Amino acid sequence: MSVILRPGADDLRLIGFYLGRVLLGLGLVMLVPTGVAVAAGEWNSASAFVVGASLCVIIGAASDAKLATRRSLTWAHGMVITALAWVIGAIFAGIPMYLSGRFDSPLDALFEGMSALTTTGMSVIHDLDHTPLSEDLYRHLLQFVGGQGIVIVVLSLFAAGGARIASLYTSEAREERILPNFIRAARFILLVAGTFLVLGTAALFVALLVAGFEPGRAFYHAINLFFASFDTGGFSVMQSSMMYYHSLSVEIVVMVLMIAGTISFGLHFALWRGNPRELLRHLESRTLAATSLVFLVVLCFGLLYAGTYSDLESMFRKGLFTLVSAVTSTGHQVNVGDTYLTDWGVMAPAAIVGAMAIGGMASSTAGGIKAMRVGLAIKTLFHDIRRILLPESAVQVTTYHAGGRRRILRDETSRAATTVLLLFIVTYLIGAMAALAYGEHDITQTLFEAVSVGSNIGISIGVVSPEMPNGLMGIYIVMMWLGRLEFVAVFALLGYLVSLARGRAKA
Amino acid sequence: MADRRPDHPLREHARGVLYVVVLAGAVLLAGLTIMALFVWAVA
Repeated sequence: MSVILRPGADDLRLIGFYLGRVLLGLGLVMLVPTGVAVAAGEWNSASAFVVGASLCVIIGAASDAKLATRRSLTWAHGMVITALAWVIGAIFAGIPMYLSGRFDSPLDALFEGMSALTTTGMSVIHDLDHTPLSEDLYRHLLQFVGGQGIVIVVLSLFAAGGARIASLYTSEAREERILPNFIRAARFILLVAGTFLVLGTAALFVALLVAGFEPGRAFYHAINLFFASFDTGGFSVMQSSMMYYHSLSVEIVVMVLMIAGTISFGLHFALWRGNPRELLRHLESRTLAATSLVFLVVLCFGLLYAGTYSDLESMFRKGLFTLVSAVTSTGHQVNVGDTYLTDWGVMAPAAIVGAMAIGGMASSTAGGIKAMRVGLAIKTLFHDIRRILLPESAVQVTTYHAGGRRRILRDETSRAATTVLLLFIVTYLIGAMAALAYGEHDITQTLFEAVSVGSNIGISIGVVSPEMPNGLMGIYIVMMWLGRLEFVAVFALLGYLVSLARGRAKA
Repeated sequence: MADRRPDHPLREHARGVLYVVVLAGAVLLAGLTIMALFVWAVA
């Protein structure tokens, strides 16, 4: 039997130190909307941001001064810090939101904070259409921070030591010092995100000018729309989401940004290095293309069969936009509330739910099961079928292309991919059942919403609202957290807590 | 095979963005074409 070692005081100091750094960073992020609030004369918002930023900076600086240690950051520390960072981040991010007076309770503000940092995009804010500029910017900026943050974590921590999303990142990476990976990954990600920030905002600005917006208002919408689209977040500055713009050019730019946001940073890297063939060969891009094609065909058939839309423009602007929004896990909406279920027939919503469940690519800001895992599960299925059909003595080797080379499909890779896939499905079902238990919605509504929440999508048919029960809100907060961290970091945290309670002290 | 010398960063930026935009455009065009086929078939 293996012996679990109890983490020492130094380990806890290290974790506290880095969580303090996370708070310090969050405090600095809050200074941006503080500046905007002061410039715009939004004094109520400014005071809320000052309180929030001060708390973050004071606690962060105190942990910096008191908890500094010479211990190096390891894989296990990184996992625990990641799991806790999204909880503590959401709590502290929710402080200025609650103080702004636009949320009914601290739980509502926590929900909004978690929704922002996990790039889900579900909102329980009151009177969104009249939210001050600084508060709009803050919610969208949090999506950028949370979105780029998770990519950095995935690339530097989950995929450390050459391990990929396919494996549960254990043996190779456990003893590796992760800080150099973190810095390397952060540099490239911020470079790509920064480039798209400039170009994407400019493109949206022009599209909004064409749509008739004044320059100042066009810029304000463009920057928020960029954060919500490229980071596959899906927040909106208006209650009516994308319907507010009534503009084909805006919708096209947003679709391009959503697709750019769902491409894994591994593929971004290959493209920047002039290797587009990687896109054609990679198991993940092939899986995403194939599954999206199936969902598109089902969607078209469903919409035309139900008679929802009959012309190409409506099919493109409503149907394709929603599918792209679902596949990329963004959650921008071009329909109101539960009309996806009441007006779209049966097959079209099913296609959207399927697309939401699978989500986008690993190591992007997209949520969901991830195309990579689905691709590996399909490969595993065919591998097993061949093994049944062939003689027992025959050697079966299944390969797939990922990370610039051909890899052999190993048992542990298959097991890890299918385990996480199964965990996502169980989470969707638990979320649907929990909402069903409150008796206000039927199974189609609760399943749609549960998949949207668990996959960090954000398309809502109305279950999520400021009036939703507190218990359900709590369950959805946990679902967003689990979905964003793809269970792995949360399990590492649970293991750490068990070892704290039951582990043997180090010699 | 010897490693290729990395390109100028600006050139890499431009190429990376161009590939992504072309890819996204191709995806939207493919979607539009399939939808057009369905609409045409039903009409």
